[in-house]
Amino acid sequence: MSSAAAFALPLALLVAGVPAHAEVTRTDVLVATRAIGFISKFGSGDLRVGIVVAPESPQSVEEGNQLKAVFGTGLAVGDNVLKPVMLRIDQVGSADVGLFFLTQGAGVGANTVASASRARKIPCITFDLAQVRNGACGIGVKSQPKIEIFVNRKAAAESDTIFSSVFRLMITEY
Amino acid sequence: MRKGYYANKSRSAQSFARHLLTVASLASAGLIPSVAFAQAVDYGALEQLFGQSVTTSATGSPQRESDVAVNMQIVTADEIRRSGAQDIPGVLKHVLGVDVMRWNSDNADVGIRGYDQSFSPRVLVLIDGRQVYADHYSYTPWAALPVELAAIRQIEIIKGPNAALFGFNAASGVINIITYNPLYDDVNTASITGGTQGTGRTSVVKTFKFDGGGVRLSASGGVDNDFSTPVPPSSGLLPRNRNDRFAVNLNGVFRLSNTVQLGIEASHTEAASNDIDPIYLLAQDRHFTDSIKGQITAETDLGLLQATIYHNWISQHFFDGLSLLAYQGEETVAEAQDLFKLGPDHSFRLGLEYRRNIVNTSPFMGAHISYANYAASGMWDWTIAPPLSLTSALRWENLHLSRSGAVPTGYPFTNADWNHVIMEISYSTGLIWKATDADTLRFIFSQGDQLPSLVELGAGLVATPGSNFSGNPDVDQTDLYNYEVDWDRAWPAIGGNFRAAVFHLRGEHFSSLQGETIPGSGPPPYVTGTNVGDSSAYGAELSLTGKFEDAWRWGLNYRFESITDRFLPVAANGTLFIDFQHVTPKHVVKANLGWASGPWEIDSYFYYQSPTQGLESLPFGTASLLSPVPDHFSFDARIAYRLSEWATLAISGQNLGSSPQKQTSGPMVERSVFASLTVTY
Repeated sequence: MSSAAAFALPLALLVAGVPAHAEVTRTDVLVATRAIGFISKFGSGDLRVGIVVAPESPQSVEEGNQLKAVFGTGLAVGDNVLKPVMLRIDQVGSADVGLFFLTQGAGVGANTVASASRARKIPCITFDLAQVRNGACGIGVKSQPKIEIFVNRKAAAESDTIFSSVFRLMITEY
Repeated sequence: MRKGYYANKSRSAQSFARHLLTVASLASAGLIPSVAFAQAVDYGALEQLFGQSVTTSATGSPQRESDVAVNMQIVTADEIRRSGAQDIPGVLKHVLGVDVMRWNSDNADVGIRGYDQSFSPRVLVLIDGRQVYADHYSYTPWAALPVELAAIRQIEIIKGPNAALFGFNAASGVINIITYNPLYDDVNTASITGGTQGTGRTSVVKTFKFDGGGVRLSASGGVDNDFSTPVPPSSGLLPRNRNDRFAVNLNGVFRLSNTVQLGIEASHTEAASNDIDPIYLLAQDRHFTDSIKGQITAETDLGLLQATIYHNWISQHFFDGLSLLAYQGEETVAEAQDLFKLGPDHSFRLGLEYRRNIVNTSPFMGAHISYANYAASGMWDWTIAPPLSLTSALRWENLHLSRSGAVPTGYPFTNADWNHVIMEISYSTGLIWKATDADTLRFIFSQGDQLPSLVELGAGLVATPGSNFSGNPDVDQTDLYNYEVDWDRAWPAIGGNFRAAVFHLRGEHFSSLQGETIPGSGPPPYVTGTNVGDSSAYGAELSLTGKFEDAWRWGLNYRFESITDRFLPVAANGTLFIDFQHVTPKHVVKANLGWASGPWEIDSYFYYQSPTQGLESLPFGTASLLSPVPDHFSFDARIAYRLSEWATLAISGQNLGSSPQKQTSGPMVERSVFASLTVTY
């Protein structure tokens, strides 16, 4: 092998990326629910999770249905059992839930969720990382190609979303 | 409502200064906060969340294995079980870059990236952050460690020096053994093992869980006859004794409140083993160790505060045919740490440490060598941009050496000669570039300082009409510098990873127990230790791991290392019990292949090492010479069958190929086969 080729090969390997995932997987949901377990405000017992969908967005509705299917009648995570509740965006101001799970494709409706999250001190989690970056939702999760947790510090603070120091040291914050 | 970090929207240099002042005031008030290498982290929950092992051994801060700014390998509990190994060196033997010199069935020395020797002094070994490396003679008595393999969550191996975090003696690397946390983990196993060499062993791990806490009791006892291979004349005239070991460990973690945890641990071991001593003679060795440790961890607005205090006792009685030595060593360590994050991109660790070590002189009794060390350390982890982070650590040490008690008639030193202060500043930095989602590059510089052992500093003292020997207070510490570039690539197509590393290690002022002669006031003169020179190494490591068809897993790794010693003529070519250039094998290849399906687990491990040399003692231990150690290939395996949900039967073997086999300059090793029944309840 020539020296140029020997140099180029590792570079070629370096730039070869891994395709990003497109749809919610069971692994995504498991990672998200495990991340929820690190929010210190939840005690033990049942936790009602509001899966927030924008009815006009097929992507949002599809993801909502996927989430509901994975949660089933209740998903045990640590000391909590996460019980899904399907919510339309216009229901987030009054729904009896302890956590918002914002679906992708909510569009401007995410602002309504953000307002409710802040006003009612309800944490928000999503796979839509753009909504975390713009502050509409406090916590973002992705599982491919590597598990990563993102937190918008301002949005999290305003919704009383508190994590342990250990957890904070292992996540990406905005 | 408890204030959270997110409630503090901005932090500045002022808040950083406040942290410093607060930690300083806590320390001055005697409220020493602690070091968080131990059980402050729920490893299991974090591992489950992030899908990979989590460690605190790189920087003191919890990190994913793939994110650390050092070259680290983590051996998981699953890998420990499937290794079939009967002791920790047996597990480490399969790890890339780890050298294991197996002298006897219960005695091995572990080095990292070469530089291995009898009573290997350059690898700092800890259990849950508590040092089990024995400072009095600068080695790790593996047979006397108070830990059961079944109680270990993971073994973290840091390659390269890391004094900036761990202080003195993290010279070639660090091995931190992390056990399960009884607060979070419920481990209950019992096993009985029998095998060749007359081996009989039982081990029990029992966790008691209750509201607000957990306590784990682990204990084991066992005997074996050691290898039956002849002891070569160069290893002395003593026969091997029967090995025995008893160990018990009690570890409790209690949740005092939602934000405060208290950990208490106590341990005791007794172990008799046949060891190859620092002058390469077979010694009949007996260790007694005890320890007690307390640790408090508090989640506060100032970050994660931890205070740890522990005390270790070690008693070593050994006889190598020339000397009958009895050392009683004690070590007290108080550590404090604050771990906190400022803003989204900056994490810090501030630490304080006090350490005191003392050991008696032997065989001349009536005096003690001791030191007190004060250390302050800091770590800064800066996320420069999402793919780029820089981790830097700094540690300042101030060590006060002293001697008290009697001196022999005609001794060339007075107690005042030990009144030394050693001040050392260590620095390490690692730049991590996540070039793609699959590729991570690390650029590492780190330092290490190896203190001479207390024996080397004066606790070794022979004063007879026929011969005199003394440790020397003027022996300097060894300074090591590591320069390294690593490349890790996740390789989904093979279900594994590729890792490559190139490194350059430079060491200055290596020392030997012998090499200088100092006249006393009468004959004979005192033989004493001295610094013999420098050494440097270039090396590369390549590793590939993978899985296929769910049931299969495999690994293949290779290390090349070339060492050049620049020792004084008196110590050249291994004449003073120290040599790395000829003793470290240039080529080492390790491979493993495993299959697991249903109730079956079958694993095999292969090892090849190129020809090298070993050190042998000349008669009466006056000097040493190099002797050839041929290249060799060895093979270990384990087959396990799960009889029921709670019972597993396993047969494992070490050195299953050629037996007996010459692997070191000491006695040859022989094939060992064990059968074990493990019950999980």
